Order: sequence, then structure tokens, then C-alpha cells
Amino acid sequence: MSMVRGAYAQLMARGERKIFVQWNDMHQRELEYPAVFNVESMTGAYEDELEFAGMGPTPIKFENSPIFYQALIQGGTIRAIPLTYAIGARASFELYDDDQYGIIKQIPEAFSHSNRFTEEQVPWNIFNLGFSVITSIDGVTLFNNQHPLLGGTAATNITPGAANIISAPGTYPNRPATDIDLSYAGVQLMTNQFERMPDAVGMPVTYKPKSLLIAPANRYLSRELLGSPGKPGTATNEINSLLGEDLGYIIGHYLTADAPWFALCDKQYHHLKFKWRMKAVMDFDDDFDTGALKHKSTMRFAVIPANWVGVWGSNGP
Amino acid sequence: MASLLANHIPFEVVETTDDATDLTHTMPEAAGQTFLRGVPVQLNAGNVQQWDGATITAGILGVSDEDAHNLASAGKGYPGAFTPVGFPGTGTTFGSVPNQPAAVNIPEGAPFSIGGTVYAEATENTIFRGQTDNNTGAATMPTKANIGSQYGVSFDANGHAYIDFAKVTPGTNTVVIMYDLDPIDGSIANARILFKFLKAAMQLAV
Repeated sequence: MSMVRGAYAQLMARGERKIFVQWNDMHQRELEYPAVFNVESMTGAYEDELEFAGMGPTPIKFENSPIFYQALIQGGTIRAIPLTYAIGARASFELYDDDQYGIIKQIPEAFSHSNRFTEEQVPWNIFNLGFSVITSIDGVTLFNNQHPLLGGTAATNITPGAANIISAPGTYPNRPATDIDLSYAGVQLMTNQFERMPDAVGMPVTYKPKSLLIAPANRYLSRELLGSPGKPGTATNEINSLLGEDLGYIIGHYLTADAPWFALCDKQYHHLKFKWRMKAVMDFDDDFDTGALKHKSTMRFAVIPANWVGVWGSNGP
Repeated sequence: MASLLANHIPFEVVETTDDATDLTHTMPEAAGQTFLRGVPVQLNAGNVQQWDGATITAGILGVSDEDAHNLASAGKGYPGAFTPVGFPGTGTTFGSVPNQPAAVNIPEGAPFSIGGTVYAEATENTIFRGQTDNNTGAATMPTKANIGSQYGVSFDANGHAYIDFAKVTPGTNTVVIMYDLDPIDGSIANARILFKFLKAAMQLAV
């Protein structure tokens, strides 16, 4: 569609004292996803990422018996495909020429406003849809109570304490068996699942959650849970044992529901990735026949949850 | 009967009547599709599949601009609003992943898929080029006299589409109208011709 003068009659008349231009006068939030996602750049039409698991524990070798040979385990592949996001606007030559306030000339700034939202919402939907649609390298949803381990049941057979955590042999959770609200018990359950975390062949590894990721509505509760000197919500003398976990919290303003909450390890320990293929490029040209001015903005990026380790989520309930 | 040729050159867009870029679009691909680039496709329950060859009224969405991806389920990985391309990003996998039945191995260089098919939409402005043949096996040589005539489309044994000069009954088996001879092939055996899809055959009729 073309923007024409009749639809912007107020821009034709001199004398307006103030025009509230939302895309310039309203301040968008600072970028939030870079605090959560590993931001990288990429080239080409796609990138594949692989996973390999090591060997199991070293077994005993009895006197003069041969050593026991084991093999590395090749895991699956996940592919990052950048999508192109583009927006355009077309204004008649007459509108551009007669605009008394230079509003039409500010179309590129409006594009920046639009781009910012898309650049945020796509990665945040990894969390919003991580219980249902978004799939990680193992082929199951990103937040799942039964992520299958490459080592299978042999892995969880040797994981110390796994029986108290897992819902099925050969799997490990990054989500409760029954979703639980953000609460004292919920945070304890989450930290326990991280504390018992094994690698794909069952040997304990260190994944320490650093931050809770919450919707804005949960910021007060988070302060109470993570900041109260005593056990939150009790009249007893117990200390708040969550203080020792040294957890912070991040408010995700692009989370669509209030009930889900998440826990994240430091970025270097998880594999949620935002890959720039091309940062936003603005361009414009005029149409020879009509003189209309055409603006456009184009950007390309991919977002993938390359692996589920290092992140945890509960969908409410 | 089979066509005279076993293989035909894919349909392609050669020009538009308004001198604009041809209208291409992407829609989710139906499950298990193996159609080739340059064949008529149709929408079925919102998913792109190869044209069934029989529906001549509002049956053709356009012409595929890429090979189908043989997806495990309809639109697998197709991005929704503000969501990235979903797992696995291809229809080509091999072997299995130990203890992870839903995981996949993607061979290096496997064609990527976003869960959809790119196609050139059949519009009144779009002029395609396709090779002629006859499903009876008879010789086919288009001439200027054929311009303006309606023809059907058939598929050869290898999955390519051709303008079928044995299908000439409007309202019964025709879906295209010949626009001109191809300036390169001219009037030779199994020449390519320029054609437009009939408005009545267009699924979206734009």
C-alpha cells in the first residue's frame, strides 16, 4: 500500500505545536535477549551443530586380562537456518514533499522500532514455546522431564542419586515431572536437578544455575525467595537456604505467560544461540513512474536451542 | 499410453505481463512429498502437494520452485509468527542416533528445509514455459496456429510435467492456454511453449 496525503492531512498544515512520534518519543526497552542467549554470527544458508558423548567410566582390569575397549558416541545434528525479516513502506512523492514536520522522513526510525521487537520476540519464543513446539538436538521439546541420554539406561544406572531425580531410566529432566509454580520448593527442586546432572553417559558434571528467568509479574516473589533472610512465608526461625545458591533473576519482558519460570546457567554453559546472518540494513529508492519513495529494512538471523543442558523450565502449573 | 519423451524440462517462469518480479510464495509442504522442481502444485488442507492431475477447476496453486523435501509430517519445522525454523531443518537424514529415537543425523550438504515449498504462483500476469508432448506417445510439434488454444498438463514417468497436446477439451481436461512459441525452440518436435494457467484452473485465482 502507499501512504498518500489524504490519510495524513494533519501533516499538511503548519501550526501544530507538538507531535508525539511514538517510535521516537517512546523508549523501547534495552535489548534483553543478549543477556540470555549466546549471540554469534554465521554465514551461508544454514549451519549444522553436532553432539558427541564420551565413554563411560573406567572399569577395573584384572591381573593380566586385556583392557576393555569402548567407543565414543555420535549424537544427532541440529540445523540453524536463518530467516529473513523485512519490512517496507511507500509514501507518495507529494506526501513526502508536503509533510510540514518531517514525519515521513522518519520512517527508517519506525523500522528500527519494528526490528527491535522481532529481534527480541523470536529468541524469547524459544522459552514461550519450549514446552510444546521448540525441539532440541535430541528431538524432544527443549524443556522436558525425560531427555533421552545418548548412553541410554546404562548412563542413569551409574549416575549417583539419579533414581531420586529421573522419571524414566536412560533420561534426565530439565523440567519437573509435574510443573510447579515459582516457589521455595520449586527452586529447591530445580537446584536438585542441576546438582545431580550427569553427562550423556551418566557421570556427574557441574551445571550450576546462575539466574532465574521470570515474567515481570514474578519479580516481587523472586525478590522474596532470593532475598529474604529467613525462610520465605514462614514464622519460624529457619534461615532462607536459597541464599546460599547465590541466584539472581532476569525479568523477561517478552515472556508471554506469567506462570512459567526458568533457570539458566551462565551463558558459556548452555547452548541457546542467536546467530546473526545479517544485521538490519536500511535501503530506499524512488519509483520512476510515480515518484513514490520506497523504504525497506531487511535482516536475517537464526535462533536455535542447540542443546538442552544448562537450562531448566517449569510451565506453571 | 506414455508420453513420447521419458523426461521433460521443468516448467519455469519466463516473464510477467506487468514487467514485475513473478509472484512467489512459501506455504507448508504436505508430508511425504517427493515432487520435483518445476511441476504444478496444489494446496490441500493448507499444505502444498503435487497437483493431482485431475482437478481442473481451481486445482493449481502454481509451479514448484524447488524439489519437495519428503517431510516426516506436514509443514515439519515451518516457522510460525516470531518463531524460528523448527527441528530438524531438512527432510534428508540417515541412520539413527543411539537411545534418541526422535533425534536425527543430517548428512553434510543435505538440502535445508523450513518445512515449506517455494512456488511461483499461477496468476494472470505470469507466463510460464514448458515442454510439449502427447500422452498417447504421438509426435508433437507446436506451431503458431496453436497459440490461444487450451491444453492439459500431464506427468511423465520420471515425475516431470509437460503440456499435453492430447488434452484439448476445454472444461474437461485443459488447464493452460498457449501464449506463444518459445523464441529459442520455435516450432520443433516437443518444443517448449510459453503458456499461462487458465484463470478457472488457478486455485487462488489472483
